[in-house]
Amino acid sequence: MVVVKTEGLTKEYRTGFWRTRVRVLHDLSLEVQQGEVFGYLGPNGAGKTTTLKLLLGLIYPTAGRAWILGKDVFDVAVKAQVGFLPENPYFYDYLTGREFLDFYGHLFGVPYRERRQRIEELLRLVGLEKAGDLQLRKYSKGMLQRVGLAQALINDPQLIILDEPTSGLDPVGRKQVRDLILDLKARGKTVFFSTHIVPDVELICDRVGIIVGGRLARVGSIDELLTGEVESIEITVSGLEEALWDQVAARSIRPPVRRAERVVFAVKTEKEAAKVIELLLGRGASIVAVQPQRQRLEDVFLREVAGRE
Amino acid sequence: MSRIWVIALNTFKEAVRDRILYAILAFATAMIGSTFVLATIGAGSGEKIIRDIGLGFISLFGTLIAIFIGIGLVYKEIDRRTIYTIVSKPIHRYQFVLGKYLGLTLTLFVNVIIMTWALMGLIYIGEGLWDFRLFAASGMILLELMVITGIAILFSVFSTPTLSAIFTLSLFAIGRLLDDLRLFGERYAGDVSRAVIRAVYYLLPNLGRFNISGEVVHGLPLSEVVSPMAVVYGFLYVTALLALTAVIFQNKDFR
Amino acid sequence: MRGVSVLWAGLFAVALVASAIVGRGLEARGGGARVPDDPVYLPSATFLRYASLGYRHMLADFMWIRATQYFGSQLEARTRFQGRYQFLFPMLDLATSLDPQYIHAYRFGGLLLIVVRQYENAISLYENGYAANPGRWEMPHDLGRLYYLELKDYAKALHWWKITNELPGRPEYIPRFIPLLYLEAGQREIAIALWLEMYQATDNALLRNMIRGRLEGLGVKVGE
Repeated sequence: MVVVKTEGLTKEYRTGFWRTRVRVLHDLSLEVQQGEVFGYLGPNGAGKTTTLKLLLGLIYPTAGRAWILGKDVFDVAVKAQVGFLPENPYFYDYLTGREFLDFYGHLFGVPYRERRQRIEELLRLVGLEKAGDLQLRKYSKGMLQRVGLAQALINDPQLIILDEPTSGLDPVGRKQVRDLILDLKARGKTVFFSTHIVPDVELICDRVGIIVGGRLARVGSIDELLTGEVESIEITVSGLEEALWDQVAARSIRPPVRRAERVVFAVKTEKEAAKVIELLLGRGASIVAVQPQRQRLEDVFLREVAGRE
Repeated sequence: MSRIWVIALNTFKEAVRDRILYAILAFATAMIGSTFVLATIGAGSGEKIIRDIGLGFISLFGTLIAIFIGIGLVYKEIDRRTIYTIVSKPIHRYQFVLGKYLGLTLTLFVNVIIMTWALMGLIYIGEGLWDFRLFAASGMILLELMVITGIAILFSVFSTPTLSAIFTLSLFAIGRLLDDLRLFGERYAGDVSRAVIRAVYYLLPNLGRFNISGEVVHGLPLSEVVSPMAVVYGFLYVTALLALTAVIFQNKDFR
Repeated sequence: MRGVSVLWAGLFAVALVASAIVGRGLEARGGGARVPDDPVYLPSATFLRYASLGYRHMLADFMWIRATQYFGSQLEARTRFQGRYQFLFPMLDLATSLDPQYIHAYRFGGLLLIVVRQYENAISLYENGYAANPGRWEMPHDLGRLYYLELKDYAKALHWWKITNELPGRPEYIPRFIPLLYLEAGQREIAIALWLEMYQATDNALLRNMIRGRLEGLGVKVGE
């Protein structure tokens, strides 16, 4: 079942004194299937947040349409099934954690008893049960992020939309978010999140959409996106003569790195590799390792970004 | 409907926890208390002075609260982006506007009631009687505050606080002087201008209609002073303001 | 760091105390050489009506208080030099223009004006009060009293007290004075006629005695 669908979604803004038209989203068409974790990957300013806002009814499209769970996104009722966490969220800082969640639960129409139960569950889930009676103005950034996640789940939604959920978090925080997303998937939910952090996508996403300059550049599962071609060959040598250093550096696609008594560098093709290895062996160095680097998602991503510029 | 109430209650909570409110309330109560002193040097006019000044301060401070909290009602949410997590919920945009408006109205209601009781308490201490007629005056003051709040929330949807404050204060001043201005305008204007003035006169809020404090203090019978038509006018005007606000808010992109 | 803070705090305390001392010195030297409460500028009623944005009743009260304070301070100032009370009427006029139903201000203000012998001003004030409140007995009553007691203009006094007589809530003694005023104004016949009427209309022995006394003083005999 298709949970999210957009067709030709386009957004233009009028900015500046002369009200010039700026198109920030071009003809976006994509689909998100039920139960999958979809990573919406793009550099800053690519249009990720704009897409999410269009899906949630925060802004209106210039052209095109969008549906959530089969209903037009303008249908207010469909939002009962959606949970949303915006980027760098600000919340009512005069409310306590519990009051905050109670407010949103109430807004969803969750009945009183169920609300109280869920609030406690969610606070436990995000590790904030001790901070429940503290005013939000006293929360740290990480805590705000977590209570924001709790708010996105208060109505037990089918679709969860997250805008840069891991931005600004330390590695531990990021892992916690990733685990949470996988947990949601295990419960049969659909997660659609935007980010510019490639490893997060690689680790948990079923499908990926790469958006650059307001256009959807690539979309598909990670395997589909990766061509399997070899990006570069990483060579580790020991016993390198100082005299050969410049030569090696010239052939390497990135500056060579010293590691204890070894040197690591990389060349583009197998041919290059063969040549360099021959050269080094001839001068008495030993080859410790030769590792082909297959194309990673980051490479695909960078290539798309470069392509648009 | 309960969604509107959730927002309203939340707005009320926010206002109540806003320290500015307490500062204004404390100041207002102190001012009203000081009327006691003024009354003693009033050379026989003490009773009138206490009531005039008491009601005057209730109106003045209520207006300040209505304007300065009102202009931030929607603007703050948009500016701080707390609105994202609300509009993305199953709530109609007009429900949000109504909720915010009702929340501030509730706050004003509580304020006016407290201050009126304080004034009545002072009068009881000074004169030994409870002057319940003051509630009629307070009621109309509250109605006027509701109109002012409506104006403030309208501006708060699309304008920055500074501009909103200027516009709302200006409309407040114009609204209070509307009858005088109309007279003045009609005396010195040509035929075309006169038609324009009359049209504008009906569009702008005539706040003078809610100002019955002077008459109440002078002891005129309430049946003469309180005009049901004025009350209807007030509610109709508020409805118009809120409807306009809802339209603008409905079509807004939250960048 | 802390040492610097102490220095600044010390400077603050010293400067504050010093300024207070200098202030007292200024006062002692007769900083109030001018008559206090002498308003050099009084805005017009129209301007204030606009500027007060509907709070005119409150402003009227303030102006009334100022007027009484002004009166008091002028009273005090007489000990040093002639106080002239020249702003008394303007202030009272302003207060009553802002709040035309301010009966108390007309009455008490009028009395103050009479005390300082500004009779024309008092008359103006009372007449304004009557024009704005034609249904109130107080204004014509005070006018009549002014003409009778201070100005000895019995015709005018009679004129105003006749008006007073018709107004609701007027004091009991008014109708009794009417015949007397007619007499003082030289209209003997009407006075006698009215007294006779009153004599017949009342049972009160005291009143009848008084009326009989008056009538006999005028050469009119009445029966028991």
